[in-house]
Parts: sequence; structure tokens; C-alpha cells
Amino acid sequence: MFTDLLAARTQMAVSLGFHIIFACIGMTMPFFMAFSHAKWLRSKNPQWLLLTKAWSKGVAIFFATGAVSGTVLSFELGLLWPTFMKHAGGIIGMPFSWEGTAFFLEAIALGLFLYGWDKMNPWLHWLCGVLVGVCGVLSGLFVVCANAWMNSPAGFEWTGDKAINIDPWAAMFNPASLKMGIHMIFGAFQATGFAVAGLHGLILLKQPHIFIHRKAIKVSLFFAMIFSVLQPLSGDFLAKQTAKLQPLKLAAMESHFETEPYSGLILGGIPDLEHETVPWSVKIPGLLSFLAHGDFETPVKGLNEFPRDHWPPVLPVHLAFQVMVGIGSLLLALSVWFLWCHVFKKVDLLSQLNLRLLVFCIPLGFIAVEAGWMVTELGRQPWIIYNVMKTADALTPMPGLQIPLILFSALYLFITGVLIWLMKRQIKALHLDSLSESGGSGL
Amino acid sequence: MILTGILSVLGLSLVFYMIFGGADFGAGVLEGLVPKKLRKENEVLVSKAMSPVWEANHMWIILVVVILFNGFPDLYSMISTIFHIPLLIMLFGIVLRGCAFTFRHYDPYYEYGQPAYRLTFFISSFLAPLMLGMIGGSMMNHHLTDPLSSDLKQNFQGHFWDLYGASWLSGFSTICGFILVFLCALIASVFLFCESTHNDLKNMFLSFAKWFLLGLYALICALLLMSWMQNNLFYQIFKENIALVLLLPAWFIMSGVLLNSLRKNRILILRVAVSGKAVLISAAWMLTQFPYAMPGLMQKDQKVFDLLKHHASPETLNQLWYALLFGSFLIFPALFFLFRTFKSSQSSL
Repeated sequence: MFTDLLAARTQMAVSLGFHIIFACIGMTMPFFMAFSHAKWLRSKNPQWLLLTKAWSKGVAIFFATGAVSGTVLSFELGLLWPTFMKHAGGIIGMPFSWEGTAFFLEAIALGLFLYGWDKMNPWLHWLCGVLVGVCGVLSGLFVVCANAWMNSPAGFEWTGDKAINIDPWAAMFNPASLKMGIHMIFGAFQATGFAVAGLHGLILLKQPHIFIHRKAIKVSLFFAMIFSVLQPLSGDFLAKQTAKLQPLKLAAMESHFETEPYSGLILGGIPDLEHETVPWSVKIPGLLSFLAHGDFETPVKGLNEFPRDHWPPVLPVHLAFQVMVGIGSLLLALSVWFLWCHVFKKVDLLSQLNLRLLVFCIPLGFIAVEAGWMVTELGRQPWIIYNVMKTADALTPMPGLQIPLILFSALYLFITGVLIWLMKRQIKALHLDSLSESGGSGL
Repeated sequence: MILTGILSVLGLSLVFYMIFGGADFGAGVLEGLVPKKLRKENEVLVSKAMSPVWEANHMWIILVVVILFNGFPDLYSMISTIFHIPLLIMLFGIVLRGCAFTFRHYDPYYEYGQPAYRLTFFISSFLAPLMLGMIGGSMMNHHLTDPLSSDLKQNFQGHFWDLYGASWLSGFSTICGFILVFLCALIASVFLFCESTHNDLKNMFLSFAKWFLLGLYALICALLLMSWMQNNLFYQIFKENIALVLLLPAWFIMSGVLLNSLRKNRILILRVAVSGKAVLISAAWMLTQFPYAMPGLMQKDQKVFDLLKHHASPETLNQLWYALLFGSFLIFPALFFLFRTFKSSQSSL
């Protein structure tokens, strides 16, 4: 039965899932833009200016959509979870106020950048573009601090029905903040880098030798490759911390049922909770112990250490984790391949094979980001504040939440459709601009 | 003192949202009223006036929300529950408005999709301030007894319509909603009058400004008359608060300044005068909410949400205050630079 609780959780998930795509683009694309903008200012090659302006249009569209969907989220915290906000607002409000400041500055910098081309010193104008990215990353870090607190609560004592001895600094800088924040930012660069590179690769397959797309791929791929190498390291740090702070979540991620020394790492599989097995999986003995604790012998706590009614939904958490790590590994391997092509030049970086690989990668980074958020949010259930407040206890008393869920989902679907239609028109206009800029040759 | 500072910033943020966000909403409302022959010129003007600043303009409401849930979380959770439905509708308006405006601006092919963009922009720009005004109006009048139970579910036992419908849908709140819509349209008319150099557009905005000012007078009179006849909570607060009563002559004076400046095309005074209108309406609302926010919330016949007592812990308020101070040092100079770059006489249209 689709209860009000499930409707509220689904609405929050849909809103977050929609918003995160635009937040990733808004945080990271300004840096791609700043790179091409600097190339234009130094070289005065008009193709770099064309690329910068084309990217800035994309950034403007995605930023606006991210801004309004972020506004929805800031209200939804209270609309869906007023009891959570009643208790948590005074504890974890500080990172939200810092995030608000950073986002305000980001919005100002974006206005100056998009519309200030001929209104200020060129390098000051370039700096505005850089500031959009810097403030975007900062606002992302701050807001992840709030989510980290939900997973790793700190800075208060809970009496059973209220919080006392509140320390907002300890709450904001809880043990999970930095690692979660860094993991999110790295993921955003990785996802956006591959998506942008892939999109330009798709166009280049149809219209080869267009300067602007070749350069666009190299700029975005540069960012994608760096962060694809850094992301698994960040993931490892975060997983080790999860083993310490949220062992039940880690057990669900890994479908790990029994606490035992030389705990094995399970790859793939579909957990069977009734029989406590994971058919269709491969188990590597000792590797989970090593990854979680740094040695092969130390046992990793299994699901059976915890009361059954505290278990998160193991199947989706495990599958989402496998998807995230699988994609992360694939993108790492591809990054190494692309780097090899670029350095040794035995295979052209922009060969037909590589362009097709890039096209294949377009959605992968974002799928990994969504899967990662499913891991952390579903893995925290049934808690909204881990081990303090259950999600069900935070729900608004207003019934009929299925209706706002349907309405908002329809709204986001509609906006997605319009966005795709608009981006196609943008790409068509860009192609015509690049041909006319290059005298028809595209070079 | 810190609490006073936080409440001041809260009030200031609300006023700035009324002025700057209100101008944006108003521009959308006016688009539905512009005659066909002037639509293209109006779109170009609105686009150039709003595009660099609209995202920054709408940050003020985020600031209001953050201060509320950080500094006054009980009040925030109560507002979020009672006004769930109008807040949802308002959010629809905010999302569709921002998307319609941006997508239209960046659509490289003008001729296709314009009626859809225009209609979406108009309806969403009308809905958002209407809902906000209805919520504001209801906050002045809505009654709920014993609202301070730690379990929200206990406060909200009863019929759905009584709890979530009648809380915001009334004649009083509807008039308040239209007051806000008309105020937004007035602000936009005056700001766009100042920005425009096209004679036909200027005359059109002049006409709009006069009609919306007249409409505001009619609505305010209707509100006061209705309140007197019903002897409602708002009227009881109004008649006992001399500061509220004095806002009426201030409103008349400001109207005179506005009309005179419109006649003489005094740009700076016009902007100040119409902003002053927004300040007066905001001040009127804030005076009804101080020190008891939502004065209709009662426990044993006593008003409960005393803003001076019912707030977050001192540690939280300290951090919030310093965060607001630090943020102000960064944001205000940046905002000044933004508006100076795009709104100075040399760079205006």
C-alpha cells in the first residue's frame, strides 16, 4: 500500500534526484567555462569564445532549473518533515545559512558573468565566472554537511523528546562532513565531465573536424579523468568511515549477513533476506575486512548484529552500491585508457572508437551519483537522524501526500522534456554558429 | 541584542524580497496584460532588466526560510504544516516562472513556443505572490488552540478541510493575496517605467502604475471594511496598535510622491517611492506579527509564539547572527556591484 510515509519519502527522493543533476552541472561546468574563457583571453581564437558562450548558455539554463528545484527542497524539508525540522533546525541550520550565502554569491557572480561581457575588465569578468564555480562547490560542501549530520549526528544530546546542549559547530563539522562533501564534489566533476565530453563526442561523430567540439571534449575529459582517479580513493575513505560510524549501512551495502573474521567482499548478486544468501554474486574472502579495517582478519559487523526492524532496505541499497562502484570502476578504467591514448598517441584520443566510448559514458556518471545518494539515504533508513529519530516520526500529519507526489513528479518530467527539446535547439544553433565562425569548414 | 539583530535581518530580507522578488513577479503579471503590438518590445525590456538579477532577487526568500528554521524552528514547522497546500502551489509558481523565463531567454528560435512561454510566465508569476499573500493574510487571522505539543500529530486532529483548507482559504486572505499581486505589479510597472526608453512602453507602464495603485487602495479599503464588520483578529490588533494606524497616512503621502514623480519622470525618487510602498505593506504585516507571530495560535487563551521568547537556543542564535553578519559583509558589496553594473543610467536600456 502506498502510504503517506512512502509518498513523502518518494517525493523527497524525486526532488533530490532531480535537483542533484543540475547541482552537479552548476558546481562544475563553470570551471570548464573558465578554462575555455582563459584560452580565449590569451589566444583570441574566436572558437574558444564560441565554446565559452555556448557552455555559458547551458550553464544558465541548468543553473536556473537547479535554483528553482533547490528552492523546492528548502521548503520540502518543512512541508514533509516538520518534526525533523522542529528539532534539527536549531542544530543543523548553520550549514544551511552558509550554503545560502555561498549560493547568493554564486547567483550574483553568474549574473555578472552571463551579462557582463562588455561591462567590465575582461579578466575581472573571467574571475566572476571562476567565482560561480568556487561558490557553487562551497554551497555543495555546506549542504552535504547537513546530510552528513543526519548520518553521523553530533553537537547535541537527545533527551528522548528534545535536543539539549546544542553545539552548532560540532554539528556542522561532524565526523562525516568532510569525506561526504569531498566524495560528492568529486562525483559531480566526474559525472559532468563525462556527460559534456560524451555530448560533444556525439556531435563530433555526426559532424567531424569541428574545432569547437574537439576542444570541448579535451577540456571536459581532462576534468573527468582527474576526478575519476581521485573518486575511488575518496570512496575508500568514506567506506572506512561508514564501517565505523554506520556499520549497519555498510553491512546492507555489502549484503554482509554474518560477523566473521576474513569477511568477504561480495560483488554483484541479489540478496535473499529469507535465506541470508546472495545468489548470482562472487565473493572474495577477506577483502571486505581489508577494505573496511585495513587488515584481512578484523571482522566486519554483519546485518545479524542488529535488530531486524532497524535494517535498511537491503536489496536496493546493495544494488545501488554495486551500480555506483561498478560505474566508478569502469570510468576509472576508461580514464586510464584515454590518458594512455593522449600520452602515447598510438590510438587517436578522438578516434571513432573513443568517441563511441564517450557517447556510451554520457549518463553513467549521473547514474552513479544517483545510485550513491540512494545508498546513503536508503541506507540510513529507518532513521532520519541516525539512531535518534525515525523517518516515520518526522512525517507531516497532513494526509493525502500521494497527490503532491504525483504533481511534482509530473512537473519534473515535463521540465525534463522541455530541457531536452531546448538543448537540441541550442546544439543546432551552436553548429550553425561554429560553421559561420569558421567560414563553413568547421576548423 | 542578537535576537533583535536576527529579527531585523529577517524583516529586512522579507522587505527586500517584496521589492526585488516582487518586481520580478510583477513583470510576469504585466506580461499577461501588455497589448499585442507592444509584446516584443516589452519582452526585450523585461529580459534585459531581469536576466542579470532575478536569481539573486529570489535568494531573499531562501534567507527568510533559513532564518526561520534555524532561529525559530517551532514556528517554521507550524507554518509548514498549516500552510502546506498554498506553499505547494507557490512552489509550482516559483519553479514554472523561473524555468519559463530562462528557457524563453535562451531559446535560439524565437518564433516557436512563445505563447506557451508567455502564458506559463504570466500564470506562475500571478500564482506565487497570490499564495504568499494568502499565507501572510492567514498568519494574521488563523486560529489554532494548544499548538505547542511536541507531537505535531496531536495538534492536527480533525477534519482535513478545517486543518488544511480553512486555514488559508478565506475572503480575508484572498484580499491579502490580491494586495500582494497588485503591489508586485505596481513595483514592476514603476521599475520598468524607469528602465524603458520606448515612449509607448513608458505610457503603458504609467497607465499600469496608476491602475494598480488605484486597485491597491480599493483592496486595502475592502480589507479594513471587512475586518471592521467581522471584528476579526486583524482588526483587534490593528485598532490597538497606533503604529499600524499611522501607516495609513504614510501610505497616502507615499502615493502622492509616487504619482508626482511619475508625472515628472523622476527616476530615483520613483524607485524609492515604490519601494517605500512595499516597505509600508511589509511593515504593516510585520507589526501584526510582533512580538507574537501568528497571533491566532493560542494555548489557554494566551498567544504562544512570542518571538522574543520562543526561539532556538542561545548557542544557535549566536552562530546564526555571526553567519548573517559575515554573509552581509560579502553579499551587500557584491549586490551593490551587480546593480551598479546593470542598473546605472549608462548601462540601462
